Amino acid sequence: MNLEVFSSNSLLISFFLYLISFFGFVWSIVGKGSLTKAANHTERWNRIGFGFGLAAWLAHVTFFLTRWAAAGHIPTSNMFEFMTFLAMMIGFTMLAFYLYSRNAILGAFSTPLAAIIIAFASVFPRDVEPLIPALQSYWLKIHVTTAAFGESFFAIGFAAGLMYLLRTTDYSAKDARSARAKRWLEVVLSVVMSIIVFCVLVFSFKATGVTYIFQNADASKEAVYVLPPLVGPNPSELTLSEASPNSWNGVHVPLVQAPSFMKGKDAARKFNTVIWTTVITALVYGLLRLTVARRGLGAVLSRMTTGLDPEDLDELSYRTIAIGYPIFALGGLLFAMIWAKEAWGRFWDNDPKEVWAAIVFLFYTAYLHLRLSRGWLGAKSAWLTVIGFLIVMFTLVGVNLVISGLHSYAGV
Amino acid sequence: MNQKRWFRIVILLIFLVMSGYTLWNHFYHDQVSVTGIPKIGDPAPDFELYNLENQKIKLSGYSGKVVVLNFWGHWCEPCQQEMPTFEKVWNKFKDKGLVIIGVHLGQEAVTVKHFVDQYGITFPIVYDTSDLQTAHAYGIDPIPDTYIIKPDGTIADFRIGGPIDPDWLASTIQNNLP
Amino acid sequence: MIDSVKCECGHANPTETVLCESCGKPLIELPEHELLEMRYDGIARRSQRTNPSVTDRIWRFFSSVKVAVNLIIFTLLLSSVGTIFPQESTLITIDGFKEISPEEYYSSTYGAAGELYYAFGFSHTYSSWWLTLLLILIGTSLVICSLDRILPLYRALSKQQAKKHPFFLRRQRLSLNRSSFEESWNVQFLLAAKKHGYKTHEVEDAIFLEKNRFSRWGPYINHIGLIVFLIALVFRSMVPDWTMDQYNAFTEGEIRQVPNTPFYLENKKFTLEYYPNESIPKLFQTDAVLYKCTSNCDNPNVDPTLKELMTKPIRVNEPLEYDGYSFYQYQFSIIPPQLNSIHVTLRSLNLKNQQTYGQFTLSLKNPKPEYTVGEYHLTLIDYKPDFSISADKKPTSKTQNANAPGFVFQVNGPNIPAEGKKFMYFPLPKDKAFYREADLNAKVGSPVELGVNGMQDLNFATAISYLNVRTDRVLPWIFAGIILFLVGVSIGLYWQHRRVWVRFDGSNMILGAHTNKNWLGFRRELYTILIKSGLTLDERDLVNSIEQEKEISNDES
Repeated sequence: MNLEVFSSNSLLISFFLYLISFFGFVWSIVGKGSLTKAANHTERWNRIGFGFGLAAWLAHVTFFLTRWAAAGHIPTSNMFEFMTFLAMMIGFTMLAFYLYSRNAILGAFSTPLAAIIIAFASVFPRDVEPLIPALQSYWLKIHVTTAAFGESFFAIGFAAGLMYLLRTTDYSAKDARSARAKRWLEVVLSVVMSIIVFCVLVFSFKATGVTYIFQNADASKEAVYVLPPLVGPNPSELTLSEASPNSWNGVHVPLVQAPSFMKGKDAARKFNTVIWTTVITALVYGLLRLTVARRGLGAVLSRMTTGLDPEDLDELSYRTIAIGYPIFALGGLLFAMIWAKEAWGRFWDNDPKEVWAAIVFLFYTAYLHLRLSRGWLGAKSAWLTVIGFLIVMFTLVGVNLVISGLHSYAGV
Repeated sequence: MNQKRWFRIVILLIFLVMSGYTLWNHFYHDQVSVTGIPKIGDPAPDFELYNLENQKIKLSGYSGKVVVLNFWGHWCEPCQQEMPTFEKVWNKFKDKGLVIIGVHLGQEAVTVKHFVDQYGITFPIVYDTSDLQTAHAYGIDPIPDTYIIKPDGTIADFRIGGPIDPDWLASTIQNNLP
Repeated sequence: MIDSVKCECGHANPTETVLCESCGKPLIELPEHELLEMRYDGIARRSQRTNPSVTDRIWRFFSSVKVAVNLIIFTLLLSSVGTIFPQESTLITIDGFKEISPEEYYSSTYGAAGELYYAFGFSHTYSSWWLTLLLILIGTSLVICSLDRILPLYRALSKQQAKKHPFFLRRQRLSLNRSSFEESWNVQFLLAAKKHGYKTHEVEDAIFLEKNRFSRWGPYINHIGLIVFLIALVFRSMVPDWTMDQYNAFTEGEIRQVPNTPFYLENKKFTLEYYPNESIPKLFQTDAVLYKCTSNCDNPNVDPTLKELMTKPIRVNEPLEYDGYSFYQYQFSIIPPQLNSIHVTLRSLNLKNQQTYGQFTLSLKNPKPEYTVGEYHLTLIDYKPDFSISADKKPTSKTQNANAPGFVFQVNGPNIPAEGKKFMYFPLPKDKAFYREADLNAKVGSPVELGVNGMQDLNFATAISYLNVRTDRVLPWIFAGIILFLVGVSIGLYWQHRRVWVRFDGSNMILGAHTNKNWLGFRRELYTILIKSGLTLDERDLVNSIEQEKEISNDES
């Protein structure tokens, strides 16, 4: 078995171990023993959750180091590598905070976060590729790792903030404020769910081995669809190639063509993906509401958080962000500037990725001021951590998918 | 109390000046440099360039005279064709307050000198800098281009491309002679 | 006008002080069942005064954190708009030539949305006056907020009294009340506190513990860092001479003046390498030599005097840096081989017994007018880089590029009449044959000709390297500002100012404790200290009863 394959297998093992760890933590909270307050139940299942979490993280580190050895450079140079690295940092931060707070629920929210990010990362091309000249610098190690480490704290802050909201939102109350909180929690949880749906969709269709290829006349441009193309590109630009199937389960593809304002070879494909993800997410959500989560996803999760001290969660969420903020500023701004100065000659280029890093920084600056000077504690502060993490994820992924720029080599 | 107040006023003033400078810079100062290429009536961008005899020629040194600037290149056919026209006009008006300066876009000394001998050019020819700063200042893209500058240093008129219309050239010069 | 309020402990406080600076007794009516607001220790902020003048009002506006946060949010939103489409500045100009006008670019690439984007000025968001103004406002707010808070805070913290009013202690977030404890408790308590790094102050009937006071200065240090950063940015935009940013083309084998600098740079060779079996580039490298021009600079009539400064391969991530100027590998283009210069040999025209007289280098870009070879002297009369015959039968050059170079020389020397002999030289074989160089030279009776001994005498350019030339004199200040900011932020966020006050009234003891951050950690630490001192308690006992009641009522609702 060569190193690269071993490395990929380690990641797969790590992914499943994170999931087992997740179930361990969940069982510690909702298991039979916790209801009957059986002796040692919580402690035992916490230990199991933590043990598997640690094993998952070690497998993750093995993946990272072996891939490094196989590639000959630090594996943080494309989207797949960066996202898996971020997940690894989240794993580390989660374990460290677990040791500090001994809170199973933190594990229950952070392990799936790491697992989801690994799954999402795996959607992007996973090949080991040599470094282009722009990335041949030791700053690749310093800048990317420090920034990801800072971001992992924002992720834990988000998990704690979300838990706070689920803990404090009163699902039996009927007033307008709780109704609004409930609605927005459903939105956030649906967004998280849509990422899972997206990963599942891509992996299941990839497993079928069928792809739909659209090409222009001389085959110089092509768009490869993994998901069946309900929406195809403009036929004057690209048409379905002869070799590709022209129907999916009896449905003629492409069903419709993308609106005319969507130009470029990938716009229609991205639109198709969005449609698939949205529709399936809506279906899954509806199904859940009809069966296990009649009062909403939040209500189910909220029940898990009942034993928690909201103030501890609030404090924890704030602590993680307070720790992550200087680290992010160091890695995401200062180191980024120094590298940019060395590689491109300017410390600041107003490249979309840079601007969004600055936006993340400004957002958490506002968060700290609101919290420290204006007394925004509790729910307000927790919502800010949720919004903040969405901005972080947009900066990491959205900017590369939607906007391109100097950092475009980090894209798909 | 008074001291404190003055302190505050000074700090606020500093920031007021900075804001004012930003706005001034944007609405007044930047206007000139953004559009870049001079128009009729604008002051002609000044330059100081070497001629074939290794003397420095400065545009602003000719204020009070009508200056015809011809941007040319030895390889350009219309430039070659219009050279005799300029030579003729030069001989006619050089004692009446006209200066013609041929700005060569390139520094190929041997080629240019031979060209000047071949065409019998007697008005001053200068070499633009190696990065064509003068041509950029005038927004030159295709050559030839001819600018006629009034005695006060502003642009009277210009023509892009060639060969030049001798009547337009003579009449514009005549209209602007001091 | 009354400038101070006297507390019952005898301390004179500035007006609008909430808590006495000395003993902590509230100076105004406070609600019974609320914790004390300890932000800035209850001191009067400088801006909060009665009868404000216009200056005071403006000052008060900028000293508000709410305003600061709003400014931050505005900046954040506006800068995000600037990322929707590429900025105008990304349309790079090389040697001053723009490929497409920005207006055209936005409308043709993004349609109507692009046109609007351009019209509203979002195409240069980051150099727009409104974003600059916003940054200046943030700077104003930073300076005024800091000035307004740092002096009063400094005063309050430097004259803290150990003995606090019971009201003050009972309304701290962590508070404890005990009516009986052992005599020796004091000693144990102080010992435990010292072990945890606290500075202890013992006065009659009271103990005061404090640690990490310096962390309170963190926010002000980071604000100073940001101010340094912003001032550096402002100066950078105000003094254009401090920054330079241009893109220049350097053809292989050419020494060229670097515009707007005292330097000349030679691109000796450009190297492009790919990874084996991949289409991914591994290396872009320009072997550069940097010269300084000491005299005759940019004078086409005389050769410049150049002094070699340094030789360095310029790669991406490895710029050439000299005296504040940096040269970055930006782009390259591979061109069809183009003759740069030729190492020519002067030889006799007689083919049977050909003699060579010497060699010299002939530039095809801007050849020199005079050459001395052995006993011969050559004068270059004419040179056409792209030789052709015009419609009126005159020799001319079709372009500026050396596509079909043709030379006319005059030679003087032994056995040549004083007026010299002319001869032609076409370096490229195709031209040599087409214009029948040998016949022409024989016809005019030239005793000599020029030629090459092989490919090694031809110097070709196969690539143009585009370098980005920059200076940025303000950069050290910008980085200094950011580093100061990070130091301040770390001090402020990674350490906490922790204080514990204990007051004894007979056999009764009240303890109050405050930290500006990380209550959980502080609570645990205080709990450990108290356990070590011999008290028996639960960690939750430290939570103020007011707080506990609130929690219970929260849970019931």
